[in-house]
This record gives sequence, C-alpha cells and structure tokens, in this order.
Amino acid sequence: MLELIRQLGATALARLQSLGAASIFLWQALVAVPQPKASFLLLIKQLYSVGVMSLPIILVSGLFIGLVLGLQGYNILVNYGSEQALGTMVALTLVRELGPVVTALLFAGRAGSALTAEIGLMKATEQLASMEMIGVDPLRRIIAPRFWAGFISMPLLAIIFSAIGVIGGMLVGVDWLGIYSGSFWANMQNSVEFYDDVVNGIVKSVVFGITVTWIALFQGYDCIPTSEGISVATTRTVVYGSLAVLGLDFILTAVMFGGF
Amino acid sequence: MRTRSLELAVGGFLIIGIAALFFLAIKVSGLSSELSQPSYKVYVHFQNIGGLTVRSKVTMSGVTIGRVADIELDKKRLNAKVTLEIYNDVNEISTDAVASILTAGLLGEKYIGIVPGADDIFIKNGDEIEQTQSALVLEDLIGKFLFNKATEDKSSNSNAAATPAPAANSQDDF
Amino acid sequence: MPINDESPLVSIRDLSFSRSERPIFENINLDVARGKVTAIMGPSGCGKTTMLRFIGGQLHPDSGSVLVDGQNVSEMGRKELFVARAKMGMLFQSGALFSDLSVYENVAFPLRAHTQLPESLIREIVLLKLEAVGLRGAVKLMPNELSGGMQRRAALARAITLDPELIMYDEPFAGQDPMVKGVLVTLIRTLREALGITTIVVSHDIPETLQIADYIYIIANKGIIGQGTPDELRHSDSPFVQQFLNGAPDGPVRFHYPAASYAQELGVGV
Repeated sequence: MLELIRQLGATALARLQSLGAASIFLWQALVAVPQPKASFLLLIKQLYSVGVMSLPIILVSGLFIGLVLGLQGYNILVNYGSEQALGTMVALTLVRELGPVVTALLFAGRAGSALTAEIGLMKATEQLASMEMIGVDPLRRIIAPRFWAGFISMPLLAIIFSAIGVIGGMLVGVDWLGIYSGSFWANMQNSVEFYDDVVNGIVKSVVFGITVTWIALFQGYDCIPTSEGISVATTRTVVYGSLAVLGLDFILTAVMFGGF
Repeated sequence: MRTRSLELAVGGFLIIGIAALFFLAIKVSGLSSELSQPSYKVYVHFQNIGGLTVRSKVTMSGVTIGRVADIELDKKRLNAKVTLEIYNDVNEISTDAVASILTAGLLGEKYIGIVPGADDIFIKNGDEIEQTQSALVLEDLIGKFLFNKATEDKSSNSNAAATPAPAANSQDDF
Repeated sequence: MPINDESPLVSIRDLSFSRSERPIFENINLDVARGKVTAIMGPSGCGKTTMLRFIGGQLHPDSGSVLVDGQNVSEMGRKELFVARAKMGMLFQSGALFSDLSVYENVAFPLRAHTQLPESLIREIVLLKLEAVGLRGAVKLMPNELSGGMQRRAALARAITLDPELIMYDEPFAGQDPMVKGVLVTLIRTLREALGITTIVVSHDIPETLQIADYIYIIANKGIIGQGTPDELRHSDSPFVQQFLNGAPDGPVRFHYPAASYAQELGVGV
C-alpha cells in the first residue's frame, strides 16, 4: 500500500518535472529573437509541411462530417417538424465544436506525429547536436519555425473544416433532401452569431493549435534517440495531444458557452 | 525554384483559409447585415421575458426591424427592462404600439413582435413602448387550464356553460 | 593572450562527472598538444564521446576545468561559446548532415551562421572544402542520396569550413568498409600536415588509430589507464593496455559477466 503511494508520488513528480522542462523548452524556443529574413523562409517551409500538407485530410473529413451531420440531423429534426432548423444545427455544431476539436485531433495525428518523428530522428542522427556545435541554436532554427507554423495553421484549418462542413450539410439538406434553400440559410444566419460562435470557435482552435504543436515538438526534442524512443514519442504526441484537446475543449466550452 | 512552388502553395493555403473565414462570417453567421444598420434605442418592460435573449429579433409584420440589445432587471419597478435597437429607417412606430414576446414555431426561439398603433406621435430614441405582452409560460397555462377545469366540474350541476379555454393573452397593466 | 606554441590547446584538469548517480569520470587530467593528433580510446561505454562534449561546451562537468586555448569552456556564456565554437569543428559518428539541406547548403551552413560573406565567396569556399574531401561533384545532392562513407566526408567538409583550430572526430571509422577507412585516415593525416590543425580522434579501431595518432589516452574504469605515443603503448607493461591493444577477449576486463559458479547453477555437484 505504501509502495503504491510512493509510486503515485514519483509519477506525479516526474510528470511535473517534464511539464517544467517543456515550459522552459517553449520559452527558449519562442523568446529567442529570430533573424527576420532567414526565419521567414523557414516559416514558409514549415507552413507548407504542417499546414498545406494537412489540407487534404481536413477537406475530406470536413466534407464527410458535414454530409453526415446533415443526414443525421435531418432524421432527428424531421420528427419534430423542424427540418428548417437543419442549417442552424449543422452550422452551430461545426463552428462551436466539431470544427476546432476534430481538426485538432486530426492535426495531432497527422502533423503532430510527423513533427515529433522528424525532430526525434534529427536528435537520433545527432543533427541537433551538430547544429549546436556549429554554434546555431536548434531551438531557434528548428523548433521555433515549426511552432509558429502550427500556431498559424491550426485556426485556418479549423475554419476551412467548418466551412466545408456547412457546405456538406447544405449538399445533403438542400440538394438531396429538399429543404428550402432560403430557410436553410436564413435560419442559420439568424442563429449563428459571429462573435459568440465563430470567433469563440477560432479562439478554441488557437488554443488547441498551441497545445498540440507544443506537445509534438517537445516529445520529439525530449525523446530517447533510438527508433523505439521515437516510436514512443510519436504515440505520446497523439495520445497526450488528443486528451489535452478534449480536456481543454470542455473547459473552454464551459467558459464560453456555459456562462461561467 | 522549389521555393517558388512552396510559397505558392502556402499562399494558396492562406487564401483558402481567409475565404473560408469570410464564408463563415457572411454566409453562415450573417455578419454583414447585422453590422451595417444604424439604429436607435427603445425601452420595453415585461412581467416575464420567458426565453428571450439578447440579440433576439425584433419584428413588425414578420419583418426584422431590429435586435434586442440588453435585458436587465428594473429594480424600482421589479420587472424586466428590455432595450431594443430598432433600425433608423423604421421611425414611424406610434407610441401606442404593442410589443409582445412571441415564439417562432413550437419549440422555437423567442422574439419580439411589434404591432403598430394608431397614434400620430412616433417613438424616438430613448422612448418607451407602454403596451406589452409577456411571454407565454407553459406552467401558467397548464395551471389556468386545471383551475378552470376544476371550477367547471364544481359548477357542473348548475349547467354552467364553462369556457374552459384559459385566457391565453394576459394583458399586462402597470 | 600569449601564444605559446608548446602549450596544449586543450587542457582538462581534475574533471569529474556522473550521470544519474553513476560516476563516469573521476579526476581526469588530459592534454591535447597543438598541431598534433591525440587519440582517446577505450572500451565501449567508457565515456569517450562525453569527453568531446565537454570540450565543445555541450555538457558541463560536475567539477574540474576544461580549458580550450586558455579559456574555460564550461564557464562560458552563450556569446563566448558561439565565438569559441567557430574555432572548433566536429565530425559526428553518424555524419549528422542536415537531412533537409543539400550538400552545398550543409557545407555552407557554418559560413552563413558565423559570417556575412557574399554568396559568391561562400560558393568558392564550399567548393574548395568539398574538393579537399573529394566530393566537389556531389555538391547538389541531398544527404540521403549519398553513401555512408560519402556522408562522412561531406560532414568533414562541413567541419572544416571555418578553418577551425581544433577538429574532433567521434568514432570516424566505426562501421565503415576498409576503403572508406583508408580515405578517412588519409584525410585526417592530410589536414594535420597541411593545415596544422589540432586533432582529437575518439575511436576504438586500433589499427587505424595507431596509424595516425601522435599521442594516445586510454580511458576505462572512470580514469586514464594508459597514455603515451603508439610505440610506448605497444611496449607497455600494463596488462589492461595489452588486452585492449591486442583485442584479447579476456584479461583485466573479464569475459564473463559476474555470476555464481556454473556448476552451482546447473545444480551439479558443489
């Protein structure tokens, strides 16, 4: 029994310690002032590999989720004679919740794990150490551009996801199931508030973007530089990142929409 | 060379993102029509606002003429004080108009409907609409119905033709 | 700072270091003579690579001093370390070329970091260094298009880009075929003879190291168990040195991991 308590304490301390290390890591990567011209090019390159490369999965997922929302929503609402509310339902669900959250989960799986693996591999092949030996800080050159790329990409991807999802809902509701297009859009516009819903959704996705990118980069940087270590690190990125997103989503939703 | 196509792709990504944002702003949330209308303030007092919320519609004959800007408790008169923002081009609402809280559909949201009166004097910025009708509260309706039913049963032997239908519109007098 | 050509370039005094409560070094003293090739050898896991990290300022010892050209590396601030590192080149065990940059960009990397030279000058220097290692034709390739030996050579070109005073080689011969080993030996020797660069080689490849080293330290068991010129070591009395140099499987370093008696484990007799 005592042993269990001791282990619990040891685990908690270890977690706290790595949280502290992760915070220092982030601080050093970001507060380090970058050289503007060179780092802009690096940022562009990272925006491509982090943002643009995630577009296909976001577009396809957004479309399908919008289609399914339209179908399921219609099936439920038609029982109450409220099919015209489909636009409202699809739009609010996407903009407030599914857009930021599902995008963040997909991002953690696709871009996050790619980042972790890339940095872990750089660590394992001593590229980070040799960069340090040449006198260039790898936190500034490798980590910082990737962080900003994630920070910028996530909200954009979430917005795109929501937009495509709404279009998907429209395709099902209006084009297939025959809801009158005018009431679909009018009801939606009346119930979706830009500042309360869309902007809050964007705020959520910014928070998720910071969290997932931070976790992905730290796991790669901190991993044991063997192939097994990299595999553990990528798994951790996806798992911790996803759990963090879901947990933060609850807190943010309670604050934004629950009136706390 | 390769950088060129890279920058193109990233630029495209940003453009798609911003376009999606505009789509969400205008098509999905109807932002532009909300922002552009200048309006004036009118105050209304209700006994019970039901589920009315800030940003609910204000309509006349079904046409949106404004929004609910603020809802607060009037501590002196102990009822709800609702601030309406009515578009400037709707400036011929007479002072004896009636403002009621209505429901859109069966389970729909609450909104305010204004029925114009006959007066020559029109409401200006800061004025108050005197005549109001509160929201229908389901429990009150059921209570009235049961009460009337009970009354009807009591006087059933005297052949009283009871009108069980409760008065659905309770005029509020202040 | 007085430049004494006889004084060692790198001077390590009383260095002690532990990793997670396991002591790696205890009071080590080591000198690296200018313009000479100094080898640090020892069995696997004795901490040879860690020693290089002390010199480069990537790790700090628990106690003791690491002096490079008279300055204590372990006490340097970021800016001083930046300047000091420009004078050092390091060839890592895995080559460690940056996988997303071409060979050209890899070799140009230190130049871009430490200097503001115009592009034309950078190009000349890069081609010069690649010519020295025999890879000028591979200048546009990506690292994953090079063989292992070529990657090492490209990494070497990158290490000498800034014409450092000190070059450190971390296990340069490990796992390479004999031809590549021969190439590396030639390059190390040429660089030493032509440019007078002080060289530290960390290795456990005995024949190659004995070929090129001017002075050798053998590290084991948290300390230095043998040092001297190759000839001195070959004739050394120490049984450990002899076991190490001859690659004998058994000697002061036992072959068998400590265990109970074999007969006992099999349950036979007593």
